[in-house]
Amino acid sequence: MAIHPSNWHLFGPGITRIAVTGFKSLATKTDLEIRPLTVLAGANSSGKSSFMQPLLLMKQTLESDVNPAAPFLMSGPYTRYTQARQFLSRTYLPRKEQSPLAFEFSFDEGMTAGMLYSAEAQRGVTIERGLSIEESWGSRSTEESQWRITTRSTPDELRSMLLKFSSIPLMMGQVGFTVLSAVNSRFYQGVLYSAPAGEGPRGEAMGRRELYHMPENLGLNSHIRRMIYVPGLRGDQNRKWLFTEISEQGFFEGPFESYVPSLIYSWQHADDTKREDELEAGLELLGLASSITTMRVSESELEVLIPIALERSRPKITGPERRKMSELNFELGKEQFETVESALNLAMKRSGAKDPAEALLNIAVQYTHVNIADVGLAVSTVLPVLVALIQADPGQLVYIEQPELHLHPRAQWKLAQVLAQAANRGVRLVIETHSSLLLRGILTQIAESKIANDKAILHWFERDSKTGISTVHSAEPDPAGRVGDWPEDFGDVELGSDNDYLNAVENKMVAGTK
Amino acid sequence: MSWKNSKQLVVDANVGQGSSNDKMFNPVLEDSGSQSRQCLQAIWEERHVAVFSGNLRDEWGRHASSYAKRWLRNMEQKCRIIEEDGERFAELAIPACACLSTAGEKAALAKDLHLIQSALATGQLILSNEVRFPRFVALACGAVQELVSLYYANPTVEGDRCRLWIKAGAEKDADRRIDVWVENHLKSD
Repeated sequence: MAIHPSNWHLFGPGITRIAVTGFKSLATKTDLEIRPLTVLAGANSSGKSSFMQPLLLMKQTLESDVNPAAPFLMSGPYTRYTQARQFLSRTYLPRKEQSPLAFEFSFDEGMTAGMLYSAEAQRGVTIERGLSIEESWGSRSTEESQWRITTRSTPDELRSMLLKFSSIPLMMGQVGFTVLSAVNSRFYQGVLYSAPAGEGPRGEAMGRRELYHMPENLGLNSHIRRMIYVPGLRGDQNRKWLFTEISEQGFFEGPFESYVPSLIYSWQHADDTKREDELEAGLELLGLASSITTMRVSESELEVLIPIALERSRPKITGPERRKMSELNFELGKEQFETVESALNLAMKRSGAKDPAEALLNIAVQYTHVNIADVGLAVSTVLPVLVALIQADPGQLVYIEQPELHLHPRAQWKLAQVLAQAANRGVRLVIETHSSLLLRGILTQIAESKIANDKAILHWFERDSKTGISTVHSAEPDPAGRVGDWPEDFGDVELGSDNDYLNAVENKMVAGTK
Repeated sequence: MSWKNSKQLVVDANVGQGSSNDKMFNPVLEDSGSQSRQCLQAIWEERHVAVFSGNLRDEWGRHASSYAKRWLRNMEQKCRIIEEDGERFAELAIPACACLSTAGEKAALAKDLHLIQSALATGQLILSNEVRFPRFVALACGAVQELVSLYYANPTVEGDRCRLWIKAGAEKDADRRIDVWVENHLKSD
């Protein structure tokens, strides 16, 4: 289940900045702001996906039961590397000008975490230096302090760094507070310290204990693990889906798509139909379906169905109504009762439904609905997008590759409304797109004041044709939804293709008259 | 605009109207559509700025072809449209119209005076398919000195030369001064 709104503040605004260096075509530092609506655009292979892959590497490492010897689990549900050299930047730059692999994140209120790695042919990638700063406590300049923690740092150096950049020494009481050593933990580097005995947060007595100061303790792990990733390769035309467990903390491990039917099922059986309503409104807005329903077909399997008719044909049955139906006490004669009972028993047995009400609904939908595997790809490709947007809590990062995939142009344009709604709730969306219509839809939402311009940021990726190195141009749209000289080339393509077509038609028609 | 060679041009609604290939089914007619479209495309490619007044925007809204609407939308997105009514030049209407002899001519000039106002307040460049309007302006140039600072280009009359001028930077060439342009292009009419 999702986090209760009263607890949203625990997670802060989420990840607000990502910097990547030395990763694939991002050979030089690419430092980008992440806002509630962040758009990554650019030509094919310009570095958009590469920018987000470090987060995916970290997510799959954190989700793994296996603790890899290297900092990252390189092959998993999100990335498929076998050797670090597959993602390390290879450029024609002289060796001394090449930047080592490094990642940096800003998150919540003034937290910064960074990691710098060294790469060797035999050992692969190893962590070299780390950084964790509570900027609200310490210096706001990350530059002066960058990469100070190394395994060679002395306890005195580490102690002075903690005093400068962390609130821990004060919280723990400086008397008896001892820094022990720098430590590595998966892809992080941090400080192991010993805190003196004292009172815990609830006044309870606590003995002397050893603790860590590292990004995971500042909350970065939670943001990375809670990230929802909707990949470009999606739209599995499954007829039946496994019932999956829905994490209370909003963790979705492995392909998000596999959670989608169970999430819809849980929304449809919840007291509050808000999320189910939002999903159906989204599908209707995109012109794909008037409603959607899930049907339990066995104890472990679900089907996802949409109505045959595009217009809503019957009143919506809410979660509480479903439960009420199962408690109905019909006044039936013995013969009728036996007929109904045997029909329901048969339906429950065959469908795996939990109760008679569900069995009745399952029978009904068989005549009015079809499995989403039997309709066009658009529904099954956009469903994970809509469900992710609706399910995500404020501050939760949702990374979607090509949300416009398989959608009709009108739906691509309308999809911007759904994105803006999620961003307005505080969800941190990073979308990677090639759709000029979706981009225009977003700018229209801004011009119509449906979303504030400062909640959106656009990053245009380009790759140098000679060096292969990516560069990024960022722009904040103005309140009228204009982006100035942001170098997107969608307009060039649109006007150029229109002009070429019209010229060709005219030439053909003129030639035909001669 | 940061683009060093960009100029500010008032683009009349008839250029937007003529930018489709509506006439392709009767290509025997002189086709201004293609020429107008090539000029709009050149403005886009050279990153020039289009100047609009409220009146002009209304006319564009009513008459623009689908290509021109897309052009306008892209120009807006790139902040290459500026709004300028040139209200401070409105007082030129009376002396300018006084130079014309008939009520019809005066009304025709008054109708398009917003183009002059916007141009005078910005880059002094007008792109239009009109032939009557520049003639009236040229007639008024003797009495209203400000009008001599206007420069004119006409896709239909000039053909590809107009597009090439825009591509070359839309400079204020002497032969484009509105009275000279009329003399050169409309003298025999």
